Amino acid sequence: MIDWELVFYRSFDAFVHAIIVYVAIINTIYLFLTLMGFFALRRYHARLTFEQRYLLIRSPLLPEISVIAPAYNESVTVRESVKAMLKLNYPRIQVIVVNDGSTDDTLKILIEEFKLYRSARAPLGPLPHKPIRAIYESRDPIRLLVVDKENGGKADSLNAGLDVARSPLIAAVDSDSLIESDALLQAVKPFLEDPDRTLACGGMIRVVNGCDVRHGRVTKVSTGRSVLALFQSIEYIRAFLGGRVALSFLNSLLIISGAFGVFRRDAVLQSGGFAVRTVGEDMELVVRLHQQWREKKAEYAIRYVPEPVCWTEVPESLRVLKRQRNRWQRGTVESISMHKRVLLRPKFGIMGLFAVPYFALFEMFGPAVETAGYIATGLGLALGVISKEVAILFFVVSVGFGMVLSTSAVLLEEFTQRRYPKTLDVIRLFVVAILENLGFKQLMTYWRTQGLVDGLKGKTGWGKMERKGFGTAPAAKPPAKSVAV
Amino acid sequence: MSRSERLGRAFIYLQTLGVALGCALSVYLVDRFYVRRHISDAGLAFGYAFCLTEGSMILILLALSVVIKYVRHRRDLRFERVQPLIVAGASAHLSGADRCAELRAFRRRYPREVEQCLSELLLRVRGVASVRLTSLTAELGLVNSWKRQARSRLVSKRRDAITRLGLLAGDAARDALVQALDDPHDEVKLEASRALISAGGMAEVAAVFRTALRDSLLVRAILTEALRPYAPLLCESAVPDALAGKDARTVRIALEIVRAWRKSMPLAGVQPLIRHTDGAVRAAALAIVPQLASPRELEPDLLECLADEEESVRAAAAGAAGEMRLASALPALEACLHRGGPDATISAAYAIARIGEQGWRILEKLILGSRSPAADAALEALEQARSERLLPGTV
Repeated sequence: MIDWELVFYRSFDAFVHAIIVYVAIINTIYLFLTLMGFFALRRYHARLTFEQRYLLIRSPLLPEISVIAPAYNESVTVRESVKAMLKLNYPRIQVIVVNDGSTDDTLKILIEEFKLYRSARAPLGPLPHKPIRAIYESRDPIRLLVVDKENGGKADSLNAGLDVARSPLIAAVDSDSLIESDALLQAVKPFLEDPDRTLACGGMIRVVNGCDVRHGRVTKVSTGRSVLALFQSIEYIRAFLGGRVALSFLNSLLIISGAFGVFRRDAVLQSGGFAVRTVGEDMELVVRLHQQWREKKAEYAIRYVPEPVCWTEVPESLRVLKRQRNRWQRGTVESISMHKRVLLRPKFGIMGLFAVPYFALFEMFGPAVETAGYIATGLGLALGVISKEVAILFFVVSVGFGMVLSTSAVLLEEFTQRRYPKTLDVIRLFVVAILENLGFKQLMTYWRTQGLVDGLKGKTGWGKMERKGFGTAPAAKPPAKSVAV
Repeated sequence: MSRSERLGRAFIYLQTLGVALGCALSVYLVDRFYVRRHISDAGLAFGYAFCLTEGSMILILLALSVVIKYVRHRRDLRFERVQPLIVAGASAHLSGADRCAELRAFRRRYPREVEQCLSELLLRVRGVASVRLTSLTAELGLVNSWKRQARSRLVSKRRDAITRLGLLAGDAARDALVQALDDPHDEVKLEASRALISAGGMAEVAAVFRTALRDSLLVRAILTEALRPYAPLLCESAVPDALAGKDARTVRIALEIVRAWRKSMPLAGVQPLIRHTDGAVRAAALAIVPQLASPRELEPDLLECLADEEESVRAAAAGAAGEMRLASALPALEACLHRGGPDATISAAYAIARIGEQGWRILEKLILGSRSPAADAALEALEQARSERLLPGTV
């Protein structure tokens, strides 16, 4: 006769052990990527000297870039952010602001501030998007275009911008992020080093909360006092310096953040532009570029530059943070679902055999498995189904391993970037990297699990992001960053 | 992917694997010989061993980073302290006094600071003082040391050594600098190029031009600007030599560099390139026609290219015709405008607008007709021309 109680006990124990092995594998892979990222950073991290930058900026061989900034109800920040974009340290730049059917004064402010007139310029590109009502140009000798179109979302606005742009490179940016003045020069480097193969390049996004900002520029880097922002700083450092450098080294980078990414225009047009039916349009486009170029068997590279190119304000309230994480997770689910056919297919190389499976198995389902692990361990311990040792082992693997990962990322930052000049700031980050694993990480895991469920159910929508602004009045807009952490 | 690139990648894989295996071995040893003695559960013991080992490593690295910060701070303080003494000694030596012994003693005690001070001085002095400082640097053994460092495996060391060698007067480091033009790393190559260009010898400048021809766009863009003052001299022999070559890529790049200089040049041998089999070469050759000393001689070829099969060639020809304000090209430009291809259409419309009243009338007629890509382009070009925004290269 079957002893069902024993079967239940054994199965439960095996389930918890399987989760432990799963979490250990995720963390080991991540640690391995961090290590590879460190060595790759040391080898390829070359900065141009002042004189070289000066010569490069003057060179007519530098390709022209169209900076495309979608704007939806940005009346509070649009004036300053466009001015900051026009001041970027890049000589051949055209700023294209796409007013995505704003219901506030965004367009009026732009017309008055930059002396715009209705231009005869017509979009030449082939991408579909909501109808363009008008294109405006400035009477001043500045290279600014404003595209006024019907509301269609961020991806739709980027497609409209792509159709209007005529330069070989385009930079897709968030109109409310602060872009470093040398950001374009840094991001264009891979295109100059390998113009035939490079399709896209992303840069490092950093947390601006706590830093001093003057006239649209970060003048002093600091960790600030908000604990929630500090936790997110660690996540950004871990995601950008740990994972992405190594994935870029393996030519398997799957995400270029929507806050700042430079793309070869012809490549994006060929691949069909940004997908409008996903909230993770940034990841989806990059996966699609990989897929199409691998299918064509063409040599290509999608690169990541570890220079800090863009500063973004992260949520300081749990409510907004929850919404953001939910959306990011849905974006991952949608992107992976749309490209599931590359999974484990050798013809897609390391991207199909490692990067996408890693994202599917660990980034997409990881939070759900980890949440199940916390619940099962707590429940099993309470019911006496699993031993104390197994419960401790689960916490060692999930929390202890997590601490190792977070602190390694801080060290990676300190040994390669050195953006925090004060020893106190480094130690503070180090302490926060440890504390982040005691509550914050678990909360994020839970929210991401909810995001996974929503994503699988097909829930759509961006939700509202409340911003404090960089020392200005608050603004509300649909945010557009996507960071897999 | 070049051989050095492949080797570099293999080295990173090996480093990563080596460190990962080292970590795994440390965890195993800590587990086997320490944790297992206290914890009987094998899985838990391994988990503890992992956290203990990795935690210790991270704490050591954190301590190391703090120590590095402290050492850097101390070094800065020491530099501030000894710099005036070294500079005073070197300045006295430059004025004629023999302070070699004193500076040698400094070099023994503060090698890094002496190197830095003399490099900074070399950057500031010219003429006889530079020659004397160069011989002092050689006497102190710095030149040989920098030459050794220029062959280092570390890119940063090679780059710094080449930067310093580039500051020396005369031919003291010429060979090392020329050799560095073949370095696999851009930063080293760029430093060597900068030094060779500032030395000003025509042979060296031509060598740098050849580097620009074969290297990445990044190096080329920087060197094109650095070589700009020597453009007329390069157009006498180095550029014609490149244009006479068989490799289409090199020829195209040479043409692009000439175009980027945006100077009027008495350059021969462009006409055959307008009829080159490679479309990219044809387009690049057409782009430099307005810069030539007598561009009108190439007018028939240019008009022919307005009907070229390749869109990029038609666009380049239209750009050149517009820049030269060739009224005789108006019929061909109008045909080009209607032929299709977004780049060629918009280039042709802008070219017609640049030619003046006669061109404007053609565009106005087109606008009044039915809506088409050509009419859209005409409207845009006309508007730009009338608002006086039409600058060279604006599309």
